[in-house]
Amino acid sequence: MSEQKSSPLLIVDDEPAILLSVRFVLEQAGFAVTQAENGAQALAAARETPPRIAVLDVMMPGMNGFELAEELRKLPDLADVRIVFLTARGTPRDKADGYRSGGEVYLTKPFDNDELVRTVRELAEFG
Amino acid sequence: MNSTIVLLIFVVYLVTLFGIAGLAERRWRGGPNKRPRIAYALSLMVYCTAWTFMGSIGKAADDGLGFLPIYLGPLMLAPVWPLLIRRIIRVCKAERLTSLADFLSSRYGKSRLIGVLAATFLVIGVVPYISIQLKAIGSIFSVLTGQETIASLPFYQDGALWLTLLLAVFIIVFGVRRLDANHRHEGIMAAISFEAIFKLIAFLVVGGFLTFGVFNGFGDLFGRAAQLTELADKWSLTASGLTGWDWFWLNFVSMCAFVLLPRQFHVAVVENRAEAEVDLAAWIFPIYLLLINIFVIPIACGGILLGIPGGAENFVIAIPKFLDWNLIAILAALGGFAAASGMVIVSTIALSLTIANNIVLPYVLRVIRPQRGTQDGSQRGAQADLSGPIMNIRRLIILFVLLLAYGFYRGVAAQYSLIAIGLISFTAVAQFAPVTLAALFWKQATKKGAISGLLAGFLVWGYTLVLPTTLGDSLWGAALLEHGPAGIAWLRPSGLFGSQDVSPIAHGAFWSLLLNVSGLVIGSLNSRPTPLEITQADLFQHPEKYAGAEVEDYRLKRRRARIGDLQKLMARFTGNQQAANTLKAFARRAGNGKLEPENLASPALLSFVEQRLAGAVGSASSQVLLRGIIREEPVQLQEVITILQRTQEAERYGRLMEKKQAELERLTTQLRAANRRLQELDRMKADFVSTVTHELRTPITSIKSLVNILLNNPELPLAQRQSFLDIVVSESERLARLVSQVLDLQALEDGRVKSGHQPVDLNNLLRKAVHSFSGVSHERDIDLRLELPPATYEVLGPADRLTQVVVNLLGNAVKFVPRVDGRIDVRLKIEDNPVLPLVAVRVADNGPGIEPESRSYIFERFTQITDPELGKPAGSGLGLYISRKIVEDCGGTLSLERSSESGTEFCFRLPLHRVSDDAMPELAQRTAEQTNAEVATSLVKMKNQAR
Repeated sequence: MSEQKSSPLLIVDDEPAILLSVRFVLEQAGFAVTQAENGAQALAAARETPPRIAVLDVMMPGMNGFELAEELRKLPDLADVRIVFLTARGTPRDKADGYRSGGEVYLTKPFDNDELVRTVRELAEFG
Repeated sequence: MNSTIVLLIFVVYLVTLFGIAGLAERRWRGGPNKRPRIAYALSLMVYCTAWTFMGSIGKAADDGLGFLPIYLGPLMLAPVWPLLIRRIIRVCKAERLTSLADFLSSRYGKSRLIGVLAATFLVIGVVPYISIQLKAIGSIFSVLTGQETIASLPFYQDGALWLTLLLAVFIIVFGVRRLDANHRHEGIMAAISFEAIFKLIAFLVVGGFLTFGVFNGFGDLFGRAAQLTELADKWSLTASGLTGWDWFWLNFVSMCAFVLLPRQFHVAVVENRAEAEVDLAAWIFPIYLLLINIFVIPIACGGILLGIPGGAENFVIAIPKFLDWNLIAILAALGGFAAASGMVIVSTIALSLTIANNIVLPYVLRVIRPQRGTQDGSQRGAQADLSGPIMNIRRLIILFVLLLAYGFYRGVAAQYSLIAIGLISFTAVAQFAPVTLAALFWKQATKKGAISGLLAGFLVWGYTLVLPTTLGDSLWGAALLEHGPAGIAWLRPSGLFGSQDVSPIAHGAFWSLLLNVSGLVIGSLNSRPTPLEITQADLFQHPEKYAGAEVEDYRLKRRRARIGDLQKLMARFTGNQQAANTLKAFARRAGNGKLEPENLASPALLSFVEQRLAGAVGSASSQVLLRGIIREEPVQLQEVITILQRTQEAERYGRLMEKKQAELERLTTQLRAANRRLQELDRMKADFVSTVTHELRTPITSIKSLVNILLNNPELPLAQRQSFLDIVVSESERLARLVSQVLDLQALEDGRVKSGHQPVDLNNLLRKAVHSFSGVSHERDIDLRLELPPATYEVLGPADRLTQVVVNLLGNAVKFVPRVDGRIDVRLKIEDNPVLPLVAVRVADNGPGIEPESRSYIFERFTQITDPELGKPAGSGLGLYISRKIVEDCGGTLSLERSSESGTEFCFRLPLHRVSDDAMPELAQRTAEQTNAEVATSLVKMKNQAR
C-alpha cells in the first residue's frame, strides 16, 4: 500500500460523474489521486504534483487526451509518465492514435472497475 | 573490247537478275513480312536512272551545279513525303487502284475520259524518257566496245536492241505473272532493289578509285581542278547559268516527278505492302540520294583533268576504260546498265498497266464482254477463261511500249542529252500534280475541272517544250520559234507573253502549270459534281473511313444483276474456284449467309465485285464488264428524292443526337452532384452514429462504474451511497433523453409526427415549460423571465412536440448564459401580418453568441453548437434540427433572430388558430395602442370569420 501511495496518479475527464467513480475506485486501491476536468487544469496539477501515471479521457473539450499526453511528457520529470487512455471511441484507428502519442494502455468506456485498477497497478509496479 | 564479249557480260548480268527475281518470287510471296522492308525503300531508288549515273556528270561538266535540283527537290519533299504517300496508298488500297490514271479516273467520278487522257499523257511524257535510257544502254555499249555511232549501224547489229528485247522478256516473265494486280511483283521488286545497290556500289567504286587512286583525295582533285580556268569558275550558283526562278521550277518539277512518275507511283503505291515500309523509306531515300551524288563533281573534274575523249556523260565508264582498269570499267558499265534497266523495267510495267487498264481493255472487253445469263449470252463463250487473253494483251503492250521507246531513240532521242529529255518528261508529269493534290485535298474539284486542267497543262507543255525541241530544224519551225505563230511575238513557244531570259524548263513549267491550275479551279467552280464524284471525293479525303467497308455507290442503286452472272463474270478472270471463294468471303463478311445465283445482287455486292475486277483489269474495264451483265434501269425520280431525303434525315438525326448528347451531359452532371450529396449525407450519418455512440457510452460508463462501486462496497456511508445513486439516476435520465431524441429524429424523418394536430394553448404551454426550468435557473442563479399578453393564443399542432421545442430552446439558453448574471427572456407576441396573423415566441439569452461561421448551418442535422466556454460540442447535434422540423410541420418557422456578443435570440412563428373569446376586446385594444390599428382590425376580422 505504501509503495502505491508513493505513486501519485492524475486522472482527467470532463464528465464529473466519471471523474467521481474513477477517483473512488483508484483511491480505494490505495493510490494518491489528483483530478482535473480539462487539459489546462491537468497541466497545472501535474506541475504541482508530478504524477507517475496519468489516466486520461480522450474526447475532452479544448485539449483532447492525445494532445494532453504530449504536453505532459514535455514537463520536467514527466518524460517517463505512464499513460492510460479512457475513451468512448475504440476503433483501431483511435487506438493507433493513442499508442502513437505514447499511451501504454487503452481502455474502452464503459470500462470495468477491476480492470482499471489492475491496469494501473501493473503500471505502477512494473513500469 | 570485243562486242560479243560485252554483250555476253550483259546477258550474264540479266540472267543473274532473272535468278534473283525468280528466287524472290518464291521466297517473298505470302505474308506482308516476308519481303524485307528495305526492299521497298531501295526500289524507290529507281528514281536514279542512267540520268543520274551518267547524265549528272555531263551536266556537272558543262554547267556546274545545274545537276543538283533533280535531287534537291525530292530531298526537300522528304519530310512530307510519308504523309502524302500514305494517304495515296490508303486510297489505292481501298479502291484497288493500280496506276495514277486509275487513281485520277476513280476520284473524278470513275471517269473513263480522265483515265484515257491521263494514260495518253503519261505515255507521251514517259516513252521518250524510256528511250533515253535505251540510248544510255547504247552509249555504254559503244564506250565499252569502242564502236563509234550506234545510230549508223543497222538495227540488227545494235547491241542495245538485243538488250532491250532481253529486257522485254524479263519484264514479261516477271511483270505479267497473274491477273489480279493485287498480287504484287516480288521478283521485279527484288531485281530493282538489287540494281539499286549495284548501281550505287559501282558509282562509289569508280568515284573512289578515281579520287583516291589517281588523285590524292578530294583536296588534291579539287585543288588541281581550281587551277584549270575552264573548271575553276563552274562551282558557283551563278556559273550554272540558272536563276533563282529556274532553281525553283527545277526543284518543283523534280518533287512532282518523285511522286508522280509512273515508275515512282508504281513502286511507292502499288507495290507497297505495309505502311511501315514507308517510314523506313523516308529515311533511306534521302541518304541514298546524298551518297550517289558524292562523286558527281569529282568524276566530272577528273574526266576533264585527264582529258578523257567523248562526252562527259560517259565519263563514269570511259575513265576506267582509258586507264585500262577493265574490271572497274565493266563494273561501271553494268552499274549504268542497272540504272537504265531498272528504270526501263518499272516504267514499262507501270505504263503497260496504265495503257491496258485505261485504254485497251475497256475497248476490247466491250467487244468481247460476257453478257447476261440469257440464252444468247451463255452461247457467246460466257464460260471461256478471259485471263489468258488479257495477260497476252498486256504482254503485247509491254512489247509495244519498249519498241516505241526504241524507235524514238533511233529516230529522235539520239540527238538530245539525257537531261534535256528527262526534264521535259518531268515537266509533263508535273502536270498531274494539281489534279492529284486536288483529288486528295480539294473536295470541290470536279471531273470537268480536272479535264480542263490536264488538257490546258499538256497543250502548253507541248507548245512550250516539245515543239521547240522537235521542230527547231525545219524552216517553218524556226520561223515559229523566232517570231511566234503568224508573227504574233507574244505567243512565241519559248517566250509566252514576252517572257525573256528564262530557261526553257522554268518557262514551260510556269506557263503550263499556271494554265493547268487555272483550268482546274475555273472548271471545278463552274460545274456541279455528280453524286458519284461527291462520294469518291469523300473517300479520297477520308480513306480510313472506308477501309474495309463497302462504299455505297449511288450509281449502283439503279443497277440490277443476278448473283450467278456476277460469279460467272469473275470466274472468267480469276478462275472458278477463286470466284466462288470471293463470293463466299463477301457473304461471310456481310453476314447474309448463302448467295443464291438466281437472286439479285445487292449494291454492296456489285461494288465488291467491281473492286475485285478492278484489281484484275483496272477500274475502267471493270465497269465495262459489269455493264455487260447489268440491267440498267433509268433513275426514278422517287429514288432521287429518297436519296435526298435520306441525307436530310441523316442531318436531322445528327442534330437530334447532338441535342440528346447535351441532355445526357446535363443529366450526368446532375447525377454526379446528387451522388456527391449522397456521399456527404452518408459521411454525416457516420459521424452522427459515432457521436451518438460516444454520447451514449458516457452515461453508461459512469452508471456501470458507480453501480459496481455500490455493489462491492456495502459498508459505504449512507450519504455517499445516496449521492452515488442520485448521479446514477440523473445519468440514466440523460441516457433516456438521448435515446428519445434519436427516436424523435427517426419519427420526424419518416413524417410520422404530422398526425395528431390539435389546438394548443400557447400561453399555457410556455408557462409550464418555463416553470420546469425554475429549478435549474434557481440553482444557477439565472434570471428567467416570461412575458405573456393577456389574451390567450391558440395554434394547431402536437402539444408535447411544441413543448419539446420550447424546452430545447430554453435548454440551449441555459447552457450558454454566463455563470454570473445569466438572463433568459421568453416572450409571446402577435405579429403584424394582415393576411395571416402569426404568433411569435422569442427565447433570448445574454450568452456569448454563436460564432458567425456556424450560424448558417446550426439548423442542419447532426450539427453541434460548440460550447464557447468548454470548446466542446454541447449536445447530440439534434435539438435545433428536431425543433425546426416540428415547427415547420405545424406550418411555421424557426429562426435565429440575432446573435452577438451580448446574446442570442431564437424565435419561432406559428399561424394563429384562435384568440380566446374573453380576451378579444382587450387584445384589440392593446394591439391598437401598442402596434397599429390595422393589425387589430385584421384580428377582429379573422375572429369574426372564425365564428
